[in-house]
Amino acid sequence: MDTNVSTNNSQAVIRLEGRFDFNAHREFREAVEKAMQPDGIKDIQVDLSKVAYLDSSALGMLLMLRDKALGKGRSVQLTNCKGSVRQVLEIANFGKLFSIS
Amino acid sequence: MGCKNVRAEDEPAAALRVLLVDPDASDVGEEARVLSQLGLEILTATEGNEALRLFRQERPDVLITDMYLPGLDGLNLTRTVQLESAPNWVPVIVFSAEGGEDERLRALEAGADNFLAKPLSPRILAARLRQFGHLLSMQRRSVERAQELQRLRQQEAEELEVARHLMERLVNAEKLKDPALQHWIASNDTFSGDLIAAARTPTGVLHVLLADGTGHGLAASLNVLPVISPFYSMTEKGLPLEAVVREINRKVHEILPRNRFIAATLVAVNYRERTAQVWNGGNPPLLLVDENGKARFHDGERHLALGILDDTQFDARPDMQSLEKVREILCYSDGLPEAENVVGAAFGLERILAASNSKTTGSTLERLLDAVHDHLGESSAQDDLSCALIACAPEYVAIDQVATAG
Repeated sequence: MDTNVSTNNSQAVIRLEGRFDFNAHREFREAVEKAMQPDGIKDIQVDLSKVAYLDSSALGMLLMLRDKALGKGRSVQLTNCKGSVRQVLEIANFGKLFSIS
Repeated sequence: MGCKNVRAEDEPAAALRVLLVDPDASDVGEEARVLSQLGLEILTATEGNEALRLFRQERPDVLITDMYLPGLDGLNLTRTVQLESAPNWVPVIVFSAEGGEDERLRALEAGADNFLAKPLSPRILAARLRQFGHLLSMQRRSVERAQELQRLRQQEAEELEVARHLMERLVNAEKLKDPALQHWIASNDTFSGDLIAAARTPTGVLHVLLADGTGHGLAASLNVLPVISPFYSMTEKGLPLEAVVREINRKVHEILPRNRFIAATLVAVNYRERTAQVWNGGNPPLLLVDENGKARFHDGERHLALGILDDTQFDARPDMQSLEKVREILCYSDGLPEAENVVGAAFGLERILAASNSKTTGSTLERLLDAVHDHLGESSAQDDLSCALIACAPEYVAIDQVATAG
């Protein structure tokens, strides 16, 4: 999986591309560290538009991100969720934890 | 060898054991003295057959031999040593006072790694031996690694066997023989991250649990262990489904790491009252099949998987479902709709519904499995995959029947 992090004032965007699964732990952790680092960040968007596949390990990683963000008073949004990615998030009922668009 | 003192940089890398063969007894003594200065352990011989005997007995690391020996000559000695040492490699240096191209060629063809002219230069010899020392230690390391790998594989196989045995006992497969239940679990690994458990309360209410832990293999399988004992012990005590769900969530939340959770469907079927309770956390929607064989998705409340929310945020209340018009309830893990065929098309919820509705013969579960297998074709499921089909007809009420059914 490839990651790209951009920050703009109060917002950080993590763009993911490829298969978001148990092999993506290191890449995702590094991206999260980068996104969490700047002081003024209020919300973190995870852009899933280019994610082809997402498994339960990926859901676990999103939970970790949410924990870290909440700990610093930041919110997390999952954006551009389509097709099978949206379906996995729906089955897991992650709408109760994240804002999903 | 006309020998000066040997400098430190000329020392071979490792303390090699060398078999030195020279027909001239006075030369062999002098050469051995020089080689000893290099920190090598030296064995000597002046005759070919004696050298071979010594080689077989002492297994030195390196052979240095004169080309012309009484008895077995240097080239035949080389050939025999290489043949008997295979697959390991024994570096051989052949030397001779006659250093023409023919001699060199014959030595190399016999399996020598190097040809040197006599008298031997201590510095060239030291450099060669240092090189051989490096190569031999590489060879030794790779043999050791292969042995270590073999040992680890064996250890892993033994550990997995113990874990598999334990897991089977804990899962209590006996209780899955309830006549109201048909089930199926498929896993790519020795261990499944999916678990199905079933048990009756003292009044005959059937509790069924279908759990799917994060990930695959042994780690996923270990994840689902904390759900087993509260499920069985609380069911045995006749506690309501809501209490069972709440306790399992509490336990999973307490025990599992933060990024692990368990998707789970819990169903309680009360055959006397003709009602069911359903709680679904993170699994795909259940299917209800009516008495005419028509299937529809259960549209009850959907929850987050077990272990994500703490007890104060957690909603353990199940949906109530009348069984007046329900013949069967089907629950399954997400591995079923997500099973992809060779071109990457998922089996999907629509195919699950269609297969359950189909009018062909066999039970609902058999039809569903046939449909998945047809869909997968040459491909194999990527995730653990499990289904549980619960019969809801009133005749499954009798606990006695259950007890004798096994």
